[in-house]
Amino acid sequence: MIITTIRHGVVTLLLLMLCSPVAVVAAEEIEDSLEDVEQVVVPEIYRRDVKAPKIDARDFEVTAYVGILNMEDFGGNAVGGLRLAYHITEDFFMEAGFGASEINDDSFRQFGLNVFPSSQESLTYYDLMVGYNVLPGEFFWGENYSIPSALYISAGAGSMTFVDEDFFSANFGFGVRALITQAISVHIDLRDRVIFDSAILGDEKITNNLEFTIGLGVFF
Amino acid sequence: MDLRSVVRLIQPAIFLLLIFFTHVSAVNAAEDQYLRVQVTEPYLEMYTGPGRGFPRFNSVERGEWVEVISRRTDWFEVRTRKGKKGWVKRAELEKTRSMTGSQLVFGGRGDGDFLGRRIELGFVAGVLEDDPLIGLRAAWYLTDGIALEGAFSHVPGEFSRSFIYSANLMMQPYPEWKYSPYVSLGAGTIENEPKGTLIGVPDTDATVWSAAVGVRRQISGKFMFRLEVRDHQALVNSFNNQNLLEITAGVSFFY
Repeated sequence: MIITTIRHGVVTLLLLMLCSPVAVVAAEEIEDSLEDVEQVVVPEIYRRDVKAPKIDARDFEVTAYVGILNMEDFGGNAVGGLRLAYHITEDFFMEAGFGASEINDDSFRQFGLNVFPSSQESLTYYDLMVGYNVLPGEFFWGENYSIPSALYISAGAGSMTFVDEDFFSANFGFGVRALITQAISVHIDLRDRVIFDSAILGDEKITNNLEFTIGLGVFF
Repeated sequence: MDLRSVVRLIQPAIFLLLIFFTHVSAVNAAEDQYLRVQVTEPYLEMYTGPGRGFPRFNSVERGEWVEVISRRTDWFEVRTRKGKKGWVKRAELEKTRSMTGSQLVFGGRGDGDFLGRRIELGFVAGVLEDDPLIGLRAAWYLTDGIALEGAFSHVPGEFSRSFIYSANLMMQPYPEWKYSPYVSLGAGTIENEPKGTLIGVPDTDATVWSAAVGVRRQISGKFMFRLEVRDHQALVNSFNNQNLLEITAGVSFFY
């Protein structure tokens, strides 16, 4: 009895094994014949090319500024310049700036000392800064208007050039940015351009050169 | 120079500006079509400004459509059907659905993803031997781990000013690591101008080869900090190589 059952089982198994390739071949034949039949009804649907409109991103900001640069030991002079900023996140931005001013040694010339070849020498500088918006918020104008604003701190490095000499400067500063419209900003900035090895007056010393500026920026 | 000749000189410029403005206004007219998205979460919250500190003043209900007008860092300005304008966080906007029913991912500019970016721009500051150094770096990523970098450095030294221009090949074997190390090989030139007060010292230009090791660390989103030690070999003349060690720290961002 048991032996018969086993025998039946083995036979069934063998049959199954033999049939399975046949079944696969049969299925393939059906598929092949289906491919030969042409599609009777061709649906008249045209693919719509949906292209998402580009979103206008305004993370770059160019600022023109004017103000006063006070060079230690030499006094203050008007300064003007341009800054290009990229706002990386809502907190951080990076900024490259270039400015021009003058430096004069009139206070020394009063006593007959000529520090520079001429009393008024041109001065240029550039700086590379990183900024952080510490206090973002709003200014309110009356009852109806609010102006997005931020108080930011910044730090970086740069170089000042005057009388054919380059001076490395470490820069620290803070400022306020107010967005008058979505694209136009107003800046008030205070920066210290620290020169570590200023040997203009003989001995090397650290000088703090303070700059106060107001600027008008455009986001694009 | 009289006024007429000035006008004649700037005529081509005026013509070009006219073409440019016509082009710009045409493009702007075409861009009046904004991206429309449907809210799928229970609410989409609108802020008065592009920052987390601004107050929430409106919420859009599920099923409603809004138009995406502009973007500032990770914030998007949207307009409701009733014409209300406000700002929405990127993460929230990505939970909405487009007209084709697909979910949206706002890549490209402002993407927070560290990997898959192609252009890195940065500033560095440090020392070259005993002199300070300030530099600009721009890298183009061929893959996540290999990049070509252009480097420009200014060295306002005590006796001279130098400029280094270099092209570097950078390899970052583990871009996904929190502190991702890299090695870099570079070739370029160094230009040295002695200060005006030093008479009779000529300008010198030399070819430089360099090798560097460094590490990158993500600060926030696509904003990074990097630290690098680079050894320059300046081929001053056929008998002499000058060894210059550069140590820099810097920040950069993926664009």
